[in-house]
This record gives sequence, structure tokens and C-alpha cells, in this order.
Amino acid sequence: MKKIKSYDDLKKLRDQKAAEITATDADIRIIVGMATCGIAAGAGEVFDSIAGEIMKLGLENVTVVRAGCMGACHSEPTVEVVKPGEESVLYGNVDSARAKVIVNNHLVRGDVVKDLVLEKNYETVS
Amino acid sequence: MKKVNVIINDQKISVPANYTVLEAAKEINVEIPTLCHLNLHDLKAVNRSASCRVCVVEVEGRGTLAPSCSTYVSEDMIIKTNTPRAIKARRTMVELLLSDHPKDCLTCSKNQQCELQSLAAELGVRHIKYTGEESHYELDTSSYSIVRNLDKCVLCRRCETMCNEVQTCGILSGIDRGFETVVGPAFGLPMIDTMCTFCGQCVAVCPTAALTEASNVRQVWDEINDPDKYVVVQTAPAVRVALGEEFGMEVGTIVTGKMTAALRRLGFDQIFDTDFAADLTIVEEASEFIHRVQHGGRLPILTSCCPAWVKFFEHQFPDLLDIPSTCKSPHEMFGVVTKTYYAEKFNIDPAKIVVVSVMPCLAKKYEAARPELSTNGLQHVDYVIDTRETAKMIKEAGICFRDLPDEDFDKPLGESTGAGVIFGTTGGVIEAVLRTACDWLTGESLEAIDYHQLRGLEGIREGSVMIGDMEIKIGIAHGLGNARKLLEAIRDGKAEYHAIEIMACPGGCIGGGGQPYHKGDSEIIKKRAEAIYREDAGKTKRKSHENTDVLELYKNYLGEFYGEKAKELLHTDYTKRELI
Amino acid sequence: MSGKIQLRIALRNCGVIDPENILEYIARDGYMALGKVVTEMTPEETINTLKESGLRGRGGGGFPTGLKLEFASKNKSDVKYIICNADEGDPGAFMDRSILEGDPHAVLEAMAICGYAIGAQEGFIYIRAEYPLAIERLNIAIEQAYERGLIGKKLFGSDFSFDIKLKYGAGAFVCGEETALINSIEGLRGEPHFKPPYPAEKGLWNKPTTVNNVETLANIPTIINKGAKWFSSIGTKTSKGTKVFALAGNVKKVGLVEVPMGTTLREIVFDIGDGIEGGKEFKAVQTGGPSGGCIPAQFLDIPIDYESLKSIGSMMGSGGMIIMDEDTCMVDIAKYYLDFTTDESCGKCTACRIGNKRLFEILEKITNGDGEAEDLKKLKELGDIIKDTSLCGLGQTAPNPILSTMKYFYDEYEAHVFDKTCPAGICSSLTKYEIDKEKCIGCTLCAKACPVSCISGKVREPHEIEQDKCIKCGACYKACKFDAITKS
Repeated sequence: MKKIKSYDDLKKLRDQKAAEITATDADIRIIVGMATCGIAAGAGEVFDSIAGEIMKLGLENVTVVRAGCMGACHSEPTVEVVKPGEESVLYGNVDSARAKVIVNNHLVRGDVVKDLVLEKNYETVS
Repeated sequence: MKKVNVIINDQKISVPANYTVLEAAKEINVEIPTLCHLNLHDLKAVNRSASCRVCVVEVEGRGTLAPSCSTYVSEDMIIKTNTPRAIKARRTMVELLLSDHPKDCLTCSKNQQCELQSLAAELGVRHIKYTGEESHYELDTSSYSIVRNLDKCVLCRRCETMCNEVQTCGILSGIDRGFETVVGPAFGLPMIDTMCTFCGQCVAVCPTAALTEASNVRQVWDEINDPDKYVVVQTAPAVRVALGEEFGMEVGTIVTGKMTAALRRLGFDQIFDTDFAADLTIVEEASEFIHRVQHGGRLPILTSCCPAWVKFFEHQFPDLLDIPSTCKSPHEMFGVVTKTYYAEKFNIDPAKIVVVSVMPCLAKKYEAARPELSTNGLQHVDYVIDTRETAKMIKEAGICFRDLPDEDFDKPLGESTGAGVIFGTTGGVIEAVLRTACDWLTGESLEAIDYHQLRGLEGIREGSVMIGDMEIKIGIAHGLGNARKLLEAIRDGKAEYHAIEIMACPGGCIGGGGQPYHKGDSEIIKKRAEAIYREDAGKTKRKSHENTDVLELYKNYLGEFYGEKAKELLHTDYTKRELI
Repeated sequence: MSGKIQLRIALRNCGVIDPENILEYIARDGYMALGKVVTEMTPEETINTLKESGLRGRGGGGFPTGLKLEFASKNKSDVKYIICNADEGDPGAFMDRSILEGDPHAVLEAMAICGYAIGAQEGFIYIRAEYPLAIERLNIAIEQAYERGLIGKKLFGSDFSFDIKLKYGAGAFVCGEETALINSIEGLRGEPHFKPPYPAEKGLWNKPTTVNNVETLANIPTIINKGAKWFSSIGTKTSKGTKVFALAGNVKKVGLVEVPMGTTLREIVFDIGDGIEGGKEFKAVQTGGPSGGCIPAQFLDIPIDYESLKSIGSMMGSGGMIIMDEDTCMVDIAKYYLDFTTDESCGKCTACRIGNKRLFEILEKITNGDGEAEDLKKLKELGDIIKDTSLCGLGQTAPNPILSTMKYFYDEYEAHVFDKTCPAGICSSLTKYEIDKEKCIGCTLCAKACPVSCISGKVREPHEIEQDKCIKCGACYKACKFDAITKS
């Protein structure tokens, strides 16, 4: 791994990584909220369930990410599905079974699982 | 030092920039009440925890009240010390302290000497509005020297400061939190199980009866009143320049004559002088020192008459146990001489002799109980009472101390020289050793025996004395923190001294844990030291080896200086103790 | 703005990136601010940017961050320290934990930026030991930052080096106070020290030190990247930027929210929080934890900022926001907070150690039904004196819950003292359970539920509660299916 020795080094690395995420052919990102609140609610099992289902279905362009708290502690575990080029969808009260439903419906067939959707009432600064 | 202009209670004054508001107020004769604050200026002992909140004042621009003991002045600061807001807060703080304090003033050992009691009186507290739970703890009476009564602790943290920062023993510190906070040894150990040296500096600064001496007054009265017993009392040099304070006499008055008269009236059978034994100690210690110098023995030699310092040494520097002098301390030497020489000479059964030492010291109570300080199953010293306890006995007996005539000590253990007197102050023991050692080494009777270069109150002092062509280097420390520094220098091989004097208490014995309370005024300690040197200067004989009673003792009983019998009776060895 | 109520600046990466992968942080401009500062700005310019942004301490104090850093930078010393206060002790607060678990690199980057600004080469994160996941993620983040050369020696090819270490707390709320925190790091008893001198002058090991809250630090990289002007365009006149709140209590949607300063309480409680659970009425909201005050319904439309909250007797605090409904007893709430502060008091100063304990005892007396008129006066008087005389912030603010609940809900206190009732039905000693003989059918369920067997009655006949023996546990009330037991 290369150490960053100058501001330019960092800029290059940033540009490279940012491009990877925003590219049109970038992976679909499934983000599982895994801060203490999420883990306590069962996010660990949800993560395993999603990862397992993806492997089972042999989906190749999906990355599952353990992230921090999304703020919707009232509906943990929470899962966000980010498809390149589309508005992301936030799901709440997900369990192992519903997680599989999300993978099959939303990822594979493109059908949002409406009854699990949470309103995203925040704007994130980038 | 730069000066700043401040306005206190509408009065403009200019004070040094490093003054606190408390000190600045003093300049306009306003004494803001304090409790936890303590500043023994020259002795470098300062407790500035700002925790009692009694000294609070109003400072313009500050949202809350400011503790005057730890708020430093700044240019144009406007201070008001006696507004209703400040006074109400002050009184409430004392009320709160009283609400968690036993109300047994009338039977408390600190009755009339308690700083909390004085505060309550000064602030006119008539009613404790906020009552509630009161803390109760078990008394710690585990040691011979100190009694801890945590119910009466006001958490001023002075004892913690003395024990940790000045004495560097680390026995006392804050434990638990909130209402349950106490100050004590780690793990709630009783004092006897800790490395406490019993120097008693915590007792000397405690504002209440949370820390007091373990009293032996009742036992001494019982012995005096037992017709079967022959009760002999000896008095330390530091007592005679301080005892008068307990009777309202001016600080620094030498009351040797009145002290002797008072003790006689208490009913002791013989009134002797520890200074006699101090001369005896010097004769032995000077001999030992010269022996080491002439026969390549271990140098430096360390004085060993301070029992707190001995215990400190045993715990903290057990690898250097061959350095201290093997001489017992003066009052112990006195004890053994009384129960052997004196008993034989006057045909008294030693088992019926009770030796009582009047000392400025609490560690001596612990020392008297040391098993090795006994002969034939009898402890050399039976009881030690400190200066404060002695004054209490005199008051109990209704004796009007101030009006007593001056009387003398009894013979044959009552004669002393100036060298014996100066034991009471820092630098005194080593100066006394030199007065004898120099004469013996040069074979002359030297006239210049005031070693001013060894006197003073700085914590660590150095000096040198020429004996012929030999330069004898002397190191002196008082306060165990300073002692530690000197000893570490020796351990690291950095110290080049021939002889070192160490006293555990700041100022030496005159600042001992059993002396009248100084209440934070270091001038008192200074004046006591001056009195010691005055008494010394006024003596006709000022060298220990000139004491005729001492010489008689050797001639008739002990034989040679530092000889076999002397070594058997007057010398001891030390115990390696653990670091706890 | 986008029309969305929440604006996530401090939480920008939480729930977006994998905190255990530094590359994801870098992809979202991570460490770009540090690079800019170290290679293109001077320490003075860095401080000025923070001053102009208007960023104020998010730990509760609200002190202007730029100014704090300026004080430390002005004190000459070859050794200085940056400390991150991650001791988050307020009950119910989890803003800092979320940032540390979700975006640890933001804190590391910000600490290095502050280090550059004041001339410090070493930083400590003092984190409470009760946050194991945050500790784990911080350790991973620190390791990865060192690996990439973004923390450590000669950053970005400059002469500036910065090391970061973790120090664990040990269960003491008082160690969130900066001087107590510093004492704790030094291995001393975690007791505060009188101020002045302030840490900027004499802090850790007597060197100039700044102690900053996690959320304050999390804002710094974005301020550098997007500029002071951008940050100061958000918020109110005196309080710039956003604030993270941990919404908890009787609200439907509990969680972490970040809103621009100036957002009203109504918006937070009813729009974001979706209102009170169970259809109950809003009663009050407690901000600032045990140091804060309660805010009643009449102030729901107050725009939240440091000054406005202070003006109504509360404070911003670190962000804990506990919503209370009509079934909350305000006296009991005050008692709860005093129980906490008296337990956490370090015990050093008289005012807090004994004073706050006495306040708690009076509240206990009142909620036990033994309150007297004098007690209400005592609470106010002693509370004011403790505020004025305590050594540190813990003691000074401990009376706030009492004083603010007395200010806005004095009638509840009066009810407890004079009528010996608890209007909300919480204080068990003042609650009376009675069986309505008309409604009772004698099913005996209540008698079976009673732990002290104080309900008597034959089957199919109305039962009766023996008031003398009743311990007011409410088990019978819960057991009755016929609404035959009244609680008053």
C-alpha cells in the first residue's frame, strides 16, 4: 500500500475512489446500519442474511457495507439500497427474512418493498 | 515582581501580581474566612484545593462566586468580600458541613481548638437549615500514634497534601466519590498496615478532630496515681519552646523552668531532661562517625533519632540500611539508662519504673512500642505524651502554668548542654555532632561552635566544615519529601556527603505532629527555632562531651565511649519493611 | 436548502460509509481538509477560518471554538496537546457515540487540523470505557490512518507531525469536565480543578491544551473544505451550523437527528419525531441532560440556539433531548436527575457534595408524601447557592432540573406538598389505588397479582384494597380487565 506523501497524492486517490462510487457501472451498494443501536436490534443477522442471499443468487455487482448509525433508531435494523443513477431507498424494521425479500424484490426485480420504506427526511452534506 | 491595581470593597490598592485575592484582602485588614486553605510559606507546604468554598467572594465579571484563596489578582479586578450574596453562601457552606458532622463539640478532643467550630462561631451560624443523612464510619484506632475519625472529616484535603506532596509517603488520598467520599489509605487499610511513618503532619494540619493523636493521658494519670510505681518523666527540647503557647504565652517563649515545675506538681517522681540523653546520643554518634571515617566504614552516616524517618527509611530504602547510625534515639537511650543504671544506682526495681516521654512527636508513640527497644522484657519507654496532651494534663490538674516559678530538673539525669537543646530544630543534631567530633578529631577545644552555615529553614541544605585539612561535607533535609531527594541522590551515587541529618517534620521537631497547632502560621515555627538557638546560646556548656552527668554515666557504668556495654544498651538495628 | 428538515454535516458519513475502510472516507473528501490546511494555509489562517465560521462547542458550553484554539495557540510552549472529549456521559445522549462508530476518521482529521492550528504534536481521545464498539472502530481508524501516512510523521511532506492515542475513562461522569478529564489522563483522581488557569494556558501536564467535543470536531473538516462563509450561512445569528440531537423518550420516532440551528422544537418533536406516542399530550422536553432544564409546551416554537435556550432556563447541552408526555411527573424527573448527579459528584467541594445531596433528600421527602411548605423554599434557596458556589460545571448545573421544573410546573410541586398527590400518578407513595365496587365483579385477578396480599374479597363479590398494607406497586391496576381499579 502506498503512503500518501503529498496533497496531490491524496487528491488523486480521492478522485479515483470517488469515481468508482459514482460510476454508472458502479456496484449496487447495500448499506446496513451497524452502530451499537443497530447491532442490538439484530443488524448483524440482517447483514449475514443479505450477504448470504447475494452469494446464493450469485449476484456479482453488489457490495454490502457495514456503516454507522443512519439516525432512524426507531426502526432498527435499517438498510439502505443505493443503485447508481437512482434515488436511494431506506428500509426500516428489517429482519433476516425481510432482508431476503429486499434482495430478491428490489435488487433482482427492481421492485421497491413499499411496506418497509422509511422516509429519508434529511439532506446529507458531501 | 510586577504590581497590579485592584479595588477591594471600594478601596483601591496595589499588590504584587502573584497575590491571591485572599492575600490582597489581608493588605486592607480584611481576613476572609477560610477552611481548607493552608499556606506554610517557608516550609513549602500549600493546600490550595479551593474545595471548602468558604472563602468565596464576588468578583465583577465572573458569573459565579470566586474562591479567594486560589483566584489570582489581575489588573483592575473589582472584588467585594462582604456582600449579602457572598456571606450567605459562606454561611450556607458551613451549615452544610455542620449538617454532616457530629454535634458533640463539648466532648470532642478538639473542643475550642477546632477550626470548624471557630468558623461556625465567627459566621454566626445559629440554625442548620439543611439537615439529612450523616456519614458514619468506623474509627481507626489501629496505630499507637494516630486516631482517624472519618465522621469528622470535612474533606479539606490538607492531610492528603501533606502526606503526598510534602512527605511523599502517599498514605492518604481521596477514596470513593460523592457524599461517600473519604480521605484515607488505599483499600481502606488500617493505618498500622500501611507505610505510614506516623510523622503526624496530617494531625498537625487537620482542622477538626478527624485526625488526632492516640492519647495516653489516662494511662499516665493511672501510673502517677499508682503508689507502687515510680514514674519518671523526660522532656524533649522542642517542647520547652512551644508548651507556653498552650497557655496563651507569646510564641517563642522559653518555658523550661515552668515546665519542670508543672510536671513536678502533676506528681511525677522525677523530672529529667531528654537533652541529657541527647548529649549521650551525641557522644555515641560522634564516636561512631569518627570510627567510620577512620576505619573506612560506610559513609555518609545518617542521623537516626527521628523515628518517622527511620520507618520511612525501612520501607522505602531497605537497600541502604547500613547507612544510618545505629544509635537509638535520645528518649529511648534515656529509657534504657533509667531502667538499668539509674535503677541499680538507686536500688529501684526496674519493673516498677515507668518512663514517660514528653515529646513534640507522634511517631515516638509508635517507636516506644517497638519490640527491639526493650531490655529484659521491659520497654525502654512506657508512654509518650505529646506537648498538647501534657498541656491538657496541666490544665486538668488546675495548675496555673503562667504563674509557676522556674524550677530545675532533677539529678542525675537532668543536666544538659546547648548541644542537647538544638536537637529540637532542623540542623541541630548534626551541629551537635560536629561540636563534639571536631574537638575529638582535632584534639582541641574549639571556640567557634556556632555552625551558621547549617542553620535555616530551606528544605535541603548543604554545608561543609573544615576539621584540620579534612573537609567534612554535610547534607541536611527536613520534611520527608526532601529526605527522599537526598536519599535518592545517595542511591544513585550522586551524593558526596560525610554526614546527613534528616528530620521528618518540616522545621524539625519544633514542627512536630504533637506540638501546639500552628493553624497554618509558619512564623510560629520560625520563632520556636529562634528560641531553641537562644536557649543554646544561654547555656554555659554547649558541647555534649562536657556534660558531667553523661561523663559520670560512662565512668561508673558504661565504660568506653562506643564500647561494648554502650553498644549493647544504646545501639539498635533496623528492620527491612515492604513497600505496600 | 432542499426543503428537508434535517441537514447532516457532523453526521455526513454516518450510515453512508464503512467506518472501517479509510478509502471510503477518502472518497468523500476525507483528509482533504487536513491536506489543505497543512500545505496551503498557516495556523493563523486555520484559526481565523474557524472563528469566522462561528462554530461553537457542541459539548454544551457553546464556547467559540476558534477563540478557544486561538488562546492555546497564543501561549508559548514547545509541547501542546489536543484532547478530544469522548466521555459522553449525559443519560440518553448518544450523538458522540454515533459519530465515533460511524465516522471515526472525521475526529482524527479534525484533531490533526486543530493540532496544526495551535502547534500541538500529540492528541488524546479520552473515551468512556462503556463504548467498546467506538473504541474498536477508532483503533482500526487510527491504524489505517498511520498506515497511509495521514496521521504520524511529516504529514503531506510538510514538517508537521501529529500522533493520536486513546485513553479510556472508567465510569465517571465528572470526567467529562475538562480539568477532571485532564487529571484522569495524568493518572490522578478525576476531580476538577479550579479555573483559571484554563487548560489553554495550563492543561495536560501543565502545557497549553484544548479540549474539544466529538461533534465540534466532526464539523471542522467540512468547514475547511466548504468554507467559513458556507457554514455561517446556516443557523441563527449567534449560533451557526447544525446541532445533532438524540431524540428519546415518549416520542414516536426516537433517533439521531441533525438540524440547522434555529429549527423549532415543534418541528423536531412533531415533524421529525412524529409526535407523542400513544396519542398522549406533550408535556415538556428536557435538553442538556442533568445540567439542563425542562422546556414546557409554551416554548415549542422557540428557534433552538444557545442563547434562546438559556433565556428560558434551559441549555443546549450536548444534545440529549428527552421528550415527556402528560404521564410524567416533573418532580420525579427532577429527582431522577439529582439522583444521577449526586451519584456522579466527585465529592471535592462542599456545595455539590453535601448541597446537592440535601437537595435530593428534600425531593425524596416530597415524593414520599412528607413534603412541607418550607421544603419548596429550601429547594430554591439552596439550589441558587449551589449554582453560585460549586467548583465545577457538574455542581453548578445540578440544581437546574429542579429550578426549571419549579419554574414551569410549580403546581405539581404544590400538589405533592400540600395535597399529598402526584398529578401524573407516578410517585407511588402518593398514588392511591381503589377498587370501584360498582365495576368489580370479583374475578380475584387483582388479589392474585398483589405481592403483599392486601386485597380481600370473596369470589364474585366486590373486592377491597387495604390501604395501610398497600405498597402502591400498581400490579392490581395492571391485572384488572374490568377497569374497576382507579389510580389517583
